[in-house]
Amino acid sequence: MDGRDAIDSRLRGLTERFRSGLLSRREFVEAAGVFLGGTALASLIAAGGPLQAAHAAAAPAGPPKKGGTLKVAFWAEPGVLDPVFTTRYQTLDVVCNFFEGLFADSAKYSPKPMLAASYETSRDGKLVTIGLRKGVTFHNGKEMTSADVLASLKRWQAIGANGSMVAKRIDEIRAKDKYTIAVAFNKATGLFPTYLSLPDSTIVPEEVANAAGKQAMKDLIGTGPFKFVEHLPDRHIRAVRFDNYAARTDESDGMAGRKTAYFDEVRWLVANEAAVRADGLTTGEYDFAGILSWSSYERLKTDPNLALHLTKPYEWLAIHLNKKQGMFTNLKMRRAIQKIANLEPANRAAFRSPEFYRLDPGITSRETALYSDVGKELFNRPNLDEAKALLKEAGYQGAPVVWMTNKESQANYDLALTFKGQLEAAGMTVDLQVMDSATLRARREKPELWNAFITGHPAQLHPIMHVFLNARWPGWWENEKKDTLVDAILSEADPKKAYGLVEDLQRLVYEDAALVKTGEYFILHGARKGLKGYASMLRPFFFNVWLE
Amino acid sequence: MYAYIARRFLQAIPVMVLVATAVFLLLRLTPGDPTDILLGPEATPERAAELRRDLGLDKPLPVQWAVWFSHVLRGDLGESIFLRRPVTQAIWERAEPTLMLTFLSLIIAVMLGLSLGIAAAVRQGSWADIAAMLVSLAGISMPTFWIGLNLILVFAVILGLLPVAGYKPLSEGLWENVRYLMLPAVTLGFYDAALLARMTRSMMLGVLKEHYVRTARSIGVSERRVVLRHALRNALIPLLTIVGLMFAGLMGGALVTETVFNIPGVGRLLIQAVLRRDYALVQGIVLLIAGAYVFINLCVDILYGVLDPRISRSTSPAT
Repeated sequence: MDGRDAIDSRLRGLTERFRSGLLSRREFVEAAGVFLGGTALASLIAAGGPLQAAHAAAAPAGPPKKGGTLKVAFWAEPGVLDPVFTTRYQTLDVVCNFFEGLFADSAKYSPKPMLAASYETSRDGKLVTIGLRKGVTFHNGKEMTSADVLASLKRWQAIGANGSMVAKRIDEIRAKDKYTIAVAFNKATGLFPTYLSLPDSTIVPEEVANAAGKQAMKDLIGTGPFKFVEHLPDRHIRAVRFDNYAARTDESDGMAGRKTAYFDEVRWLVANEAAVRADGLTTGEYDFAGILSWSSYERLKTDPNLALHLTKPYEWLAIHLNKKQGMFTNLKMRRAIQKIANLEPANRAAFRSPEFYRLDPGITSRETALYSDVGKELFNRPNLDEAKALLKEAGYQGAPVVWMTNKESQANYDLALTFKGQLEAAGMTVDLQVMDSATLRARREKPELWNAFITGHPAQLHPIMHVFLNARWPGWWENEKKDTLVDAILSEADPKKAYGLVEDLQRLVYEDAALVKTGEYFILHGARKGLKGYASMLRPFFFNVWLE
Repeated sequence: MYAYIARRFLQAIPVMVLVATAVFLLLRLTPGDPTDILLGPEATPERAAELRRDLGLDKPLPVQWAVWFSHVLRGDLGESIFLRRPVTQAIWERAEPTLMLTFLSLIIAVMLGLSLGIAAAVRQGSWADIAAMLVSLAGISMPTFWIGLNLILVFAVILGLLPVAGYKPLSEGLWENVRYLMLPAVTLGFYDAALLARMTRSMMLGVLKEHYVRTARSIGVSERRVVLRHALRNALIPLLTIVGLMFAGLMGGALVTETVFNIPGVGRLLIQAVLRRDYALVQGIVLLIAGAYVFINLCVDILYGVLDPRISRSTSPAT
């Protein structure tokens, strides 16, 4: 979109000069014609243009204003709107506005009580008692009780991506009384509140949870500040303010604490093309546009009517090496890739400006409490001589590295292309296979088909919840020490001890070259200047947000 | 006439079966798994396997085909895996934008294409002819996405006259509907207009040299009447085939335009369904488009007879 951005800004300048009388109609038409006919030239001009390092800061907000409809340009059709059934970002980004769990993420991505009023753990850590808030009503008017929580958590254990992982440690969940539940574990699980803050532990009415079972929920009834109204796939999703919302009284803190719905209605309008979202935001058709192209940043930041928001943290990317079959079963070969990977040029090629990426060894981001930089001596320390020596020791004979990538994520492709060059410079050969993401996901399940691919992981996530720790996940990292550490972290209730264990796990990720982290990237959202209170967290939520 | 229509319907059946089977096989042979997309990136392999079982995707291909086809024969196209609603409902919800876009584009294509083509033919070799053919050459040569993006840039972003993208249903008023569809309809119609202009010119040039045109002129029939009544009507028969095919093509072929202008129509649905490996939905849409082609071709064949009574209806007309 570089060319288009350049043309846009030039044409906007021309239009302003035309409107102010500095250009005649004829001069305007001639000049505009030159730009419209010169897309390729404009692309070249724009591609060389420097990007500035700061994004627009929101002006200080006045008192919150109630009312109005918020129009959100949403980047993809979510399909199913059930956060227990699916882990799709598209779904979670919308439903975080109408569903809640017992815990929620604070601004620092640590769990804080939401529907829970109290949380007590027995001395051996195997029995947890959770008191529920009284007077919380669902969108259908029914009061939330332990029966609803019980049914929701049973469904979470059965089909939730995270719930089914922790389910193995749970002996029983039972209702002690109308507002209390008790969870008995077979092993202490200090990390339970973190699990309960994840989207798949959403609380819905008992009858809705039971009716859905292992299928996606048909009735979307939650306790959140917005109430689902309508979903027309590929067109829009509508939600209105839930007037009977039972807000917490403690301070707002990220997705936790007091929540207020200021808008009468929020409408997510599906717009797959980033250019459409950016243009619609510029013309005022949308109040908020999610996931804008990085290359549109220069143009949008000069628009006085817009405020840009970087979502930081968002995701980190890693090269996953096939540890089940082929050359990367050999640790020396994996260590060679660590030594070859020169991350700065690769990230510059993929994300254009240092503002949109960060080179950092942490397997959880700097903004979270569990961040650590252990393993940094094995992160982004390119050394071709050492790499070549490792390849020689491993007996590498020039067999091609089958590297799968896709162009649906241009950044993924750009990274792969840069690393291909780096591997070849070290004497390796690379067979770069470009395919659509559905094909890639299917092929990566078959160890005989590939050696490497890149994918992303949520940067704010608790380190032990990353999918690559599961030995069945493509990459197939089997390591006894890893399993022991994961189990210990899950059990540990003491934050200091847990932090030490997380550092050990991160060190192991680097020492065993379980993956090669390529960097962390941030996404760009845009809003009209009048949008206030937006928190720029992982999920774009619209409670505590208003339009001036 | 009725026997002819019945025969054409019967001929369409093997075509539809072949299309259905080919699409079914092509989709299943393409790597990718709808459950993976539906459940999201963090889903466990066990959960994906369970859902695959629930959806019947673990069964052998012939069994899956037989189950699906038996449902199709009963008029049931199945349920969209991703959208979790009947395929017919998913298509129906997107029929209005596609139909409206198709009609508007076709109106623009026919009006512009015929006018340019007739003007070029009547004034062969003049500046009008050259200009009309240059316009049509530009229309054929420029990719629709490029035209679309530039139209958005000028009329929506810079001048602010029309919306950038999106769709307003007819229930919100005809004017709103047309306002949102104006740019995509021009984008889409321009390409077909260009094609039609060239075809019209060539047909008209042939017809204008016919004896009956010369006779009409010699007996003092006005030039306007000669062109519109005698020449155009005879040139229309082959053009009708083109317009019919354009209509069928637009029904499911506005993929790029619907994507660029963010119109929730059948074309965009098809692209999304392919990317999501939504088997039932892709199969349903392709069957529908194939059916539309067959039906519109049949209509065109019948219209031949109306335009030219010499064409016998008892035998299969030329296509």
